[in-house]
Amino acid sequence: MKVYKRTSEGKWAAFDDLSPLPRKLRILLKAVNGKAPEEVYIKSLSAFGDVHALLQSLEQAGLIADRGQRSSSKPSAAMAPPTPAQPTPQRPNVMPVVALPGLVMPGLVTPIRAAAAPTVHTAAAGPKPAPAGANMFERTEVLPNDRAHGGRSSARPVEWQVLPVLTDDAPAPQGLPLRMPVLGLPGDPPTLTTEMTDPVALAAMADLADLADLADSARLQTPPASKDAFVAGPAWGASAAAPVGLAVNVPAPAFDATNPAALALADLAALSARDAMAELAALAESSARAVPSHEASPLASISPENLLAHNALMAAANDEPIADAATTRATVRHAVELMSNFLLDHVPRAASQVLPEVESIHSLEQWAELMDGYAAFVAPAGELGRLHLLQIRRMLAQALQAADVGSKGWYA
Amino acid sequence: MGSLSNIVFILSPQAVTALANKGKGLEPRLHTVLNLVDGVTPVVQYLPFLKMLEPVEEKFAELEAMGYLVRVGMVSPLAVKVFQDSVAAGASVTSLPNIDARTADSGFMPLD
Repeated sequence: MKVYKRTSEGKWAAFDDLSPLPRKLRILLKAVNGKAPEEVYIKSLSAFGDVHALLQSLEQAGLIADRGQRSSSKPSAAMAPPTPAQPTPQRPNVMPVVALPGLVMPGLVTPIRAAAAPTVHTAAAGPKPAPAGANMFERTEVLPNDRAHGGRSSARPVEWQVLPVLTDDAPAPQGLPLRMPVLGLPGDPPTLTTEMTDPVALAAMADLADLADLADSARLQTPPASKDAFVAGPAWGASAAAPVGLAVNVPAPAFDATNPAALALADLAALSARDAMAELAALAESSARAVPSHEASPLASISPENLLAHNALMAAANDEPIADAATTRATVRHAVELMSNFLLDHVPRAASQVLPEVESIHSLEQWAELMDGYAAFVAPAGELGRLHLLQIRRMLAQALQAADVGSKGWYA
Repeated sequence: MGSLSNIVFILSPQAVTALANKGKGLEPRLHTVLNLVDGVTPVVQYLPFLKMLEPVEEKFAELEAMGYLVRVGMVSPLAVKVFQDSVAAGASVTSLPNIDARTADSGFMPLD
């Protein structure tokens, strides 16, 4: 079973306007996400024709490469006799859950007031006392990320995550170390993490927390349908009373699309948001059975204009608009990728019809015009679709606000 | 019949119908090529990216003969030569010129 990923040339060819790759092949190339096996593309993109031959052609052209067999090693490993000392598996430091103030989602993360000063583990310096006001967060449920990253079961020990919490009266210092949990295997030493001191990273995290706040507030307005629908406990009240987080205290710096670290962090933030939204959607779906559908999600009524107003309220007084063409272009491209991926993942039947339209978006104006039609296509995805739309509309509103270009598109 | 390298094709109404029916009645490889036609890309620009569907140019000719493709214009022979030379020199995709009809370098000329 082949699992293709885009090569560096493939990434360029998929997203750069100067790419000589024919338009519809670019769509297929964009669909290659490095995770899904080839069979998934062959089945879900049958409208492309001989997808197998197309993927092989792209491979020959050096635009995609096989990641190697992913699952074939698992059965043999399972059948092998256990060895007394297993070496620590080499794996990337994936950071699937980002627990932050303002991102305290019911059932996902529970803040626990520690009686004594909690301890922060640091990769370099070892344990040290946490800063004043720090809270301890414990994951109380299994997240879908657990299975997505390595396929390990919920029986794994859950790591404690110690995060500093910002409050209104304690403004956030720049360079605040943000801890990100890394899921561990039994016997793993406490693995940590990157200290995020980059203000761009803080801004990306602020966006993530903000998005989760919106989703959370929607949840708070929807009464739990049953005892089982939500995880009861302090998380429910705690999330409503969560201290004001980074979104207010940290002025958002300009997003630099030419900074690879910024792009990577933005991708990370998007990934985490998507995972968080997936979890929220699953919970909301179970609760929505007992309430009329039109009351189930107030998110659906949020328009770009409202979000724009929301952003204006949230912006710090000294925020400056970010308005250069490269940033706008990067945002548009990122949104197009998000929309393409969502279509392919969740509404594959409609994907072949809509993808050319989505892929043709080259300006904020085109993007705004397409949103109504896009919303119709995404509607079958249910709550997840609505949350996805919220994210896209929010990106659009932010991009419009940042670019402030009126009717000027950047694409000639 | 001359070379189709510099020709830009567009789908005929018949082709649109065929694609809406998922290429029913069309040979799979022809369906694949037909699906890739976008109305701006000259035939030569498909060739480096469709090695597994060769001979691609013949497939375009066949689809045109079947009435699925209509010529909408052509790019300049010079642009085609530059593109072909780059491919022959083994240039990576990042160094290949984009000569689709939307670019000024293509010298695109619409047909009546």
